[in-house]
Amino acid sequence: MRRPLHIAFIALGMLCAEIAWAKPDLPAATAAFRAGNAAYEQGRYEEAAAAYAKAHAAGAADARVYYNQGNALFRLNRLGGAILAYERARKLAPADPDIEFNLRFARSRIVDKPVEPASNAFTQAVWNLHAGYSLRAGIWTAFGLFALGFAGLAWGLFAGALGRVAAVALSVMAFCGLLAFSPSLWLRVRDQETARRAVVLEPVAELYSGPGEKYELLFRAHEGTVFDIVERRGEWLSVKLPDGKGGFIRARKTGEV
Amino acid sequence: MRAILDRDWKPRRFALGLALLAALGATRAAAAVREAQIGLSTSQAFVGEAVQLQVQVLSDKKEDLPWPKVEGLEPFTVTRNVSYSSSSNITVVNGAVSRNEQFITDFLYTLTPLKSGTFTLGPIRYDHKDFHKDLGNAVLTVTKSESGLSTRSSVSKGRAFVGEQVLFTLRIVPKEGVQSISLPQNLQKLIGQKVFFQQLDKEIAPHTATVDGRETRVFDIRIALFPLIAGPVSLEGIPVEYRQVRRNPGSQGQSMMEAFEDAFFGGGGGRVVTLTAVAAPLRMEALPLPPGAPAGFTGSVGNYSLSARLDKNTAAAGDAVTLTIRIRGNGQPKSITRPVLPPLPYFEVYEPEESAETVVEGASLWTTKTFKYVLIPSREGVQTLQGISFPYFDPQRRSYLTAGAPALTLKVTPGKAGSGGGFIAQREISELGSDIRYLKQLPSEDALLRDDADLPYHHAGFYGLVLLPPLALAGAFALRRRRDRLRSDTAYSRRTQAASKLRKRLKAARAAQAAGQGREFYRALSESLLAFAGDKLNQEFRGLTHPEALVRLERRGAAAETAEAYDALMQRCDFVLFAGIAPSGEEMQRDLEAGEKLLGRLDKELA
Repeated sequence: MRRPLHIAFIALGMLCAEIAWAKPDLPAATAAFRAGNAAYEQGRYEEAAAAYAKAHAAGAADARVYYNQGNALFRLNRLGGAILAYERARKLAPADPDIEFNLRFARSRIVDKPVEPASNAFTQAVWNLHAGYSLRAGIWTAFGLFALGFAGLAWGLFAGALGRVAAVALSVMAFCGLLAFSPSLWLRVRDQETARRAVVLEPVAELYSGPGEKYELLFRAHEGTVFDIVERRGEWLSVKLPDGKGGFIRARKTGEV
Repeated sequence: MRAILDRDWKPRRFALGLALLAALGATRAAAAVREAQIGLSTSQAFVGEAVQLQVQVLSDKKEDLPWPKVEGLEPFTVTRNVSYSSSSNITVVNGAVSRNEQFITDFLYTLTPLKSGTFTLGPIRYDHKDFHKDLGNAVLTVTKSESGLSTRSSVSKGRAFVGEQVLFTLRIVPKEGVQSISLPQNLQKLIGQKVFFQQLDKEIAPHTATVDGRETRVFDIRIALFPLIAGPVSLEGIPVEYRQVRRNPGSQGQSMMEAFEDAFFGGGGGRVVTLTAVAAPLRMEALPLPPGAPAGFTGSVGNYSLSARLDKNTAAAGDAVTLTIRIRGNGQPKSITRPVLPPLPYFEVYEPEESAETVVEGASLWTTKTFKYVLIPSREGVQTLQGISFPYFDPQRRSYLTAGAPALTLKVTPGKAGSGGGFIAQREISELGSDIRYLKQLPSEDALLRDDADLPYHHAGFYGLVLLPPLALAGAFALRRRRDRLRSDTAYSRRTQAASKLRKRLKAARAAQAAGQGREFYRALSESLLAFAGDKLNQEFRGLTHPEALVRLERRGAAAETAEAYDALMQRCDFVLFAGIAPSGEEMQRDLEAGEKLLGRLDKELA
């Protein structure tokens, strides 16, 4: 009887170790981040932006690094780069109000008016619920509900009559919560893994009807405009705006979020 | 339909209906051509002059008829067109009214002669079903003539930057008899998508200019071109359409009517013809803009100026002030976009009202865009609006420059809700954040950054962790079943718990051994042996004797050697207990080890 328990504990330990394993060089990244903050505070924005780039090159995909990098680039008047950095930060920490504020602020300075999908108060509230949690927190919440549901069932096997009712109620609530939460989480995971967006980094970028300058020129986008990437064709990206307008743009004129 | 639905419907009646329908269809399909004839708009033309050949077909039904067969069209460029019309004729004979309707299909061939000569158009035939007719020939005499005008096209520069204005001039020098000149509607198609253009002059009016040293009446068509993409730009030859009075090439073949018209209207043998002359194509090169464009550059190339002013110098807090920004330049009109305002923390800024105006000054197109912003100051005092700038590229200096306006000041007095000083309305307080929010710091000196992109589901271990709750539930279920069985099945309960009970009893024996209590030790050992056998045999050990236990153990499948060892150890225990001897510690240790081994064997053999 004891041996299976030992095996289970060892397996659990290995799982936790595996999850905690493979950390990037966070001390080096942190040092670069602090150096960037110091440079920014002294008004050396170019140096600060370089230090933040070094921090995430060391493997720290931390929203704070991208946020601060966005601030430095904004001060340097590189609105495209700033918006790209804020978008990256928002992808990692969607509920952070500072990131949202600075992103909107930077967008208000660009030439092209951002195309926002039409929404009402209800859809906005649903969207806020959907987009307002970090993906990591969402995953562990879902796992917690999942484990709680099974724990309730296990408790029900050993509890008395009253305890069994409570255990089943707990289990049903946990599984219902999981069922309600799963679509949002699934969409978020899909968005994280598949949805790709690009930000125009040059003052002006042309969009053509095909992957080349020989095709019809459709329109021009200016620095900071954000597109959804549909596909990549060599040096060209097929992109579209939320209103459906799209075309092919040179990949080197953009940065991918 | 009703016949079909009727109960007394008969197949014969239905067949009759079908026959009638078929007859009707046959009648409809039999649209017959009644007549066909040809006509030529003129029998004499110049090279390049359009002539129309018409084949008119009369039919009794309106339908799409096939085109006639026309031979001899090789010396012409041909454009085909078809038109339809109808006419009806009502006849009353002896009070009976009859109506005769006929449909006319006109097959029109617009022929433009490519060379001079006498050409026979034909034979021309029309065939459709039962109608077959040879419509004969038409003869057209084409004479060569000198073009009624000469064209000369030029651009102000052969190499220009993307977005820079280039003046394209098409000079037309008309000859005698040219009455009017027009450009084609589809100029965009001719100029191409790589160039934005705007015609400078709304009307093409003649003026006098020196051409080849002589004062000559000319028409100048001026177009401002703005290349949109770097690279070579080809400008196709622009066709210029003109009307000219021409003397007829000869009287031979001239119809009597044409001769009459010439004589009556004073044509003197001349007539007005519409001709087309194509200007020579041009090429130019659009240069890419150099790198290093400043932030906010929107592609404006040329000379630009910017002015900004407030409609008042003093305003009360909460009152509207209009900031007017004017940007004027000779680059592409659409490149002037809304300027970026400096941060205005103490103003509420509304969307601007935009207007644009283009004027021609000299040989350039100038665009002025006006942006009117409504600003509402929220804080009293002297408020400064920092300078507003507009970056552009100057092709003369080949560098990026900035057109700007100096800072503006506005004295803001207390508004209606003000009370002496520091007036800030509640609503406005919430709108004062007009700069980006500050840097993020780490919470402590020893805190490290995170790797937020490293999500749990990227690790195989996470999936193992997900499996744990169902596995734990399965384990709990198995445990519950075992507990239930232990409660309901005594034999099973005693059998499975025999080992744990044995461990407790042997523990008592060890304690006695440690205390040097020989009798207690052998009593505990004897009880352990008997109780273990009783548990395995599902019998209370207190009523079980040593020989009985031995027999039943052998019956349950214990090996003979094991039974012998069991018997020997039990005898040894009985001997010590009943003989009253005091065993040594070594003997007790040996017997304890023998007992443990024996019980281990028994456990396996009776499992």
